[in-house]
Amino acid sequence: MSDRLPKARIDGLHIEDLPGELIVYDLGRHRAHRLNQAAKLVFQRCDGTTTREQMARVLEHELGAIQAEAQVDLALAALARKHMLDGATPRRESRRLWLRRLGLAGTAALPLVATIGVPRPAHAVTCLATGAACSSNAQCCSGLCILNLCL
Amino acid sequence: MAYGVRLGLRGQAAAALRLLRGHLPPNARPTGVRGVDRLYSLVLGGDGPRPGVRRLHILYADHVRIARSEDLDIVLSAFESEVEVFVAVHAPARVFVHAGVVGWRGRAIVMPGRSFSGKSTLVRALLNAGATYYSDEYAVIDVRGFVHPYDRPLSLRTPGAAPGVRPYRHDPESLGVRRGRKALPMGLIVSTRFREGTRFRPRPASAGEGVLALLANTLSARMRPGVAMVALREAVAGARVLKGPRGEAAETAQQILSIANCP
Repeated sequence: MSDRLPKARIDGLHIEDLPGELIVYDLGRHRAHRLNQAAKLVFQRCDGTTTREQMARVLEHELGAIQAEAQVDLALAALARKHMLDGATPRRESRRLWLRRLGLAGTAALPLVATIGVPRPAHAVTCLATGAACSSNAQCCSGLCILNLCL
Repeated sequence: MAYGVRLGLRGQAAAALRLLRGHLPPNARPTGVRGVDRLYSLVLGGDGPRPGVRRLHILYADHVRIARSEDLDIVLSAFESEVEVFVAVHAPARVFVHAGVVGWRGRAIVMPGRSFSGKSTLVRALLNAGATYYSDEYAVIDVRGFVHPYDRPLSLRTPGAAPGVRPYRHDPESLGVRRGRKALPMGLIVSTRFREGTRFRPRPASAGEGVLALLANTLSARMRPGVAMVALREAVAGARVLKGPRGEAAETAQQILSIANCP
């Protein structure tokens, strides 16, 4: 990540606040992210003025986090990787590597950003299996209707 | 008009219009409004064989041909799928989630999932255990987060039938099942799919995980994410969320109802 203070993207995100969680919809990439409490606290402080150290103090205070600065780095890396920070270049480091560094693998309270790809309408409806009679590609789970039969 | 979406039907004979009307989504009713959101046109292929001539039935959505076959059932089935998706994506005040839904003690149990995840089988098992039928296709959610019935016959695959065989439609009443009529708040979201030899041991999940499970099966999520997310946020607000693979439907249904009974 760059040396600039982290700043959350403003454009192209729709955000819903839930108790202890945040759901962020990326309008351009059609991906929905679920931020747990720790990731939410970090994301909400990515305003371009709050430092890593200040974020770490919030995690310590709100969640009793240990190695809070490392946890902030973990959260920022995840947020950057998911394109939720402005102008941040994500480091190519896996979550597992971070956890090993923290020595805290398996701890549920660590910052977590879970992501799903939001489907196109055709992928979110009932489709026909291979061999079923069809008349258009959209009807088949495979997306292929050949000679009125789903492939 | 269905769920606020204006549909036009056109055919060169009254018979064509009758056929199309029989395959409209539930709640579709005639209206006097001018202008439509989509116009469907059915051209029937004519009667009887003629040497060297294929009697093709053709269906258009606006100017785009969406089905063409000598088998009228195939064309009508394509119409039904197409019009259902169109309404589900464009309904202005409803969010359609691909899910099975039953009513239980004044609350909705919603099971989002893709095709062949075993939704209809689980819905049928829950109905056998005394739940009320809401839908085996869509959870229709309003902006307050309430779930409305999607009044379509229950669609069940014959056990052991090849995957290509179309499911049969059963009227809920013919199965001795009660139909739900009024909108219910969501009580339980069960994100599961059938896995052979598994016992249903769900883990409680967070409201956010519930939103993602619903969003992954929401038809209008890409077109109107703001509306979808507000409705889903409201829907999960008072609901519990369970995740995990399931085994046999009857046993799973009993477990789901026991969990739903717990305050």
